[in-house]
Amino acid sequence: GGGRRQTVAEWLDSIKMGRYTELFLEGGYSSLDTVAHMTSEDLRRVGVNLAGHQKKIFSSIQEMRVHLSSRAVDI
Amino acid sequence: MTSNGPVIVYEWLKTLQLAQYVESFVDNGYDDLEVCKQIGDPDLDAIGVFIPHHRQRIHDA
Repeated sequence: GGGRRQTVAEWLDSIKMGRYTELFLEGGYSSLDTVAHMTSEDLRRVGVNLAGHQKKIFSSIQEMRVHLSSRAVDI
Repeated sequence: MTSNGPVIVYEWLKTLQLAQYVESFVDNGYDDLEVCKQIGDPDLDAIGVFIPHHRQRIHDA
């Protein structure tokens, strides 16, 4: 671990999807812990309608899950 | 995880003579042909393809 916790805004900015920050927060996804459990259906529900943006955000969420499940493992 | 999707998108855009957009396609998640098949006007707006005949070329592809 180590390092401070990243916010939803920072995460979205880091994948150049910062334009969705407001929608995520309005949709109740205000922490990366909740974001990590989102399905592609959830993404559509908060208003991510473009196929490419869904793909990009969802693949980042999947990476996030991998990190969460291997948190204690140093590679 | 490795993927050669972006390379394939680059090759595809090159055949359309639109290779200048490849970075924007990939940045917006259009990084394989499967997702590129779903491209419509809102996608092109997000990617930043505003020149009408460029849009037409992608629609026709």
